[in-house]
Amino acid sequence: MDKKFTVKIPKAFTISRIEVENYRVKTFYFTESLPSQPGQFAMVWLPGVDEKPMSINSAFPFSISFAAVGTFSKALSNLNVGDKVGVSGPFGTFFPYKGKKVLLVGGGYGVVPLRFFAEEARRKGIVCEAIIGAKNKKDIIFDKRFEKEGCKVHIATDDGSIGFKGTAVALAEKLLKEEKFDEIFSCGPEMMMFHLSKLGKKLKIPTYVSAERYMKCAIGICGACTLGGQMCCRDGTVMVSDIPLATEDFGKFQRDKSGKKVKY
Amino acid sequence: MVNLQTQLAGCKMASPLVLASGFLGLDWASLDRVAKSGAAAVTTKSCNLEGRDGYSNPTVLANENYMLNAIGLANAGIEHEIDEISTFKKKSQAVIIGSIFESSPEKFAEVAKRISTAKPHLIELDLSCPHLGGKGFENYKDFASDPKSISEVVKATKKATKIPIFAKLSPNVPNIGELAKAAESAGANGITAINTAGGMLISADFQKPILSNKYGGLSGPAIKPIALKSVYQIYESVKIPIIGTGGVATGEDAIEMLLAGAAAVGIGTATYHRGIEAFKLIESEMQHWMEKNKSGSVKELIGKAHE
Ligand SMILES: Cc1cc2nc3c(=O)[nH]c(=O)nc-3n(C[C@H](O)[C@H](O)[C@H](O)COP(=O)(O)OP(=O)(O)OC[C@H]3O[C@@H](n4cnc5c(N)ncnc54)[C@H](O)[C@@H]3O)c2cc1C
Ligand SMILES: Cc1cc2nc3c(=O)[nH]c(=O)nc-3n(C[C@H](O)[C@H](O)[C@H](O)COP(=O)(O)O)c2cc1C
Ligand code: FES
Repeated sequence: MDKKFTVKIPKAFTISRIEVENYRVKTFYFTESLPSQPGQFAMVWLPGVDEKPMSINSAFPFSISFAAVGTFSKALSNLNVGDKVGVSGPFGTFFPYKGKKVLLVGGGYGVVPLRFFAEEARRKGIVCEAIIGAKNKKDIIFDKRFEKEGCKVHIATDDGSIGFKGTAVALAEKLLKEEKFDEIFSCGPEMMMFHLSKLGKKLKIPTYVSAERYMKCAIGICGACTLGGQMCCRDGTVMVSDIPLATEDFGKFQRDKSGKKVKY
Repeated sequence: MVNLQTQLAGCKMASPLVLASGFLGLDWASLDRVAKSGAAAVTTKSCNLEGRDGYSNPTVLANENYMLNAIGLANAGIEHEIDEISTFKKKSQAVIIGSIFESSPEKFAEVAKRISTAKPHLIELDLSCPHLGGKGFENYKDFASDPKSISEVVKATKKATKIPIFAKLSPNVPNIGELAKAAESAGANGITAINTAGGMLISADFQKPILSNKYGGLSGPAIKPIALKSVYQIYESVKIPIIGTGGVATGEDAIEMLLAGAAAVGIGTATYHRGIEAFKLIESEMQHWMEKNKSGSVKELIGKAHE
């Protein structure tokens, strides 16, 4: 039969190394690998706590970066080298290798898959420049990691505590006037991706976003992550921006655990 | 040319293929997409009066042979459901089946009455979610294992609506035929069978159950023999039409379900194994089978394994 599905039964992965990125973000490297592409995600299970989607930061070895913000991520953050978590995946779509020069625009943990892309792109001779957006200087992560992959890095903070004062989208608009890019790839808060999609459309630059919704099954069947009939976990998360822009949902509302609409 | 048309309680369907409840059924847009992908009828995710968050993850596990789920009937509640069904009806010609559940016959009747305002073509009673718990469901007992409970719920909902009622049954019982009989005698217009079979998975790595709810419901290819037996037994017991559901992944599986006695065929887990394209693929495989076996219509296949 036409095999398009990913088995979803967690296997134990062992933490081999931990790097602290900032006051609340850590990167866990594991002993195991998970063959996958930039933009794909894994389901990470902490027995007795929860199981949540996490962007893949690297495949060989497998690694994730996460912010300790709530019940699950704080419990994860408390683990040490040698501890095990359950991992299944990879799930979802990934960023295409098409353009020769790509603008990466990341906010929050959105920088994670974009960094993975920058690493793969470099090997394929694709030039990337990265915009990292955050509220404040202390929330900027991965700037050094992007530089390590040979990317020119631009920083935007809401309060101007470092780099450009304003949103990542405003900085992208400025940059796109000065330089030519073949594509825009974005991952981060939905309103950022929404405005960037509209900008890409205006400038006729193909734009890919990583659309996220509350996820349960991760395999495209339960419907929890619907974005106007597109399942973010299987038809996404990476989608060419025309698809989310054509829905009634994108940039307007998301859904809670029960499926009720929650306005942005 | 083979004829895939069938009928369910007066509803004409272009083919026997029905999207099973709980798959992609949260919003009108997903249901419309499934209908455009070849499902002749779509069933909404089961809903109740207040809605539910469902259980914590892990809620769904799956491999090539089966799926195990304990979503815990997460849904946004009846008001939301009415909106989604009404919108669907404006956008699509496909048959829509509104699935409902509750904790008592009275509440079942109330949801049936409310959902009827959105005019789904059929209403399906989810009598049989295994291991339901949580707020408002502390003392929930499975209606589907007791003929008297089934009869009470069917009678109460029949009084509350004019829309035909299908009773969805569980395979986790000794004699499903008797239970189908109870539903028919109480006035049900059809039977959907089967819901998932009880199951669990344990992680050897962590030495713990994997689902947060420990127990869940099994679906997919692994349960096809259970589904066939159930539909076969129900067909021997009742006259009303059956939506045969459970483990159908190919056109040949669907034909087997018809031969066992199903008038329509429910499809769920196959959307995981083959994608939403499953409906088109299964439909064309059925056509091939029927041409090869010189079978002109679905009608002549229904229940043929009993002859
Ligand atoms: C496809 C996908 C990929 C994801 N990848 C990552 C990833 O690589 N790294 C990562 O840290 N998270 C990622 N997440 C989010 C992650 O799945 C959890 O939602 C997150 O860890 C919070 O869960 P929690 O239970 O700890 O907190 P919750 O109790 O769910 O949330 C606590 C509060 O924090 C807010 N919040 C949630 N996530 C974040 C965040 N990352 N930064 C700031 N505030 C937040 C919530 O809105 C809420 O107000 C991803 C989500 C999806 C859908
Ligand atoms: C994730 C999931 C959710 C389900 N939710 C419901 C539901 O809400 N109501 C219901 O009657 N059946 C529900 N079911 C059962 C299916 O409708 C169907 O009866 C069962 O999966 C067997 O068919 P299949 O093997 O084709 O999947 C669910 C099944 C799964 C896997
Ligand atoms: S999380 Fe279930 S469909 Fe995406």
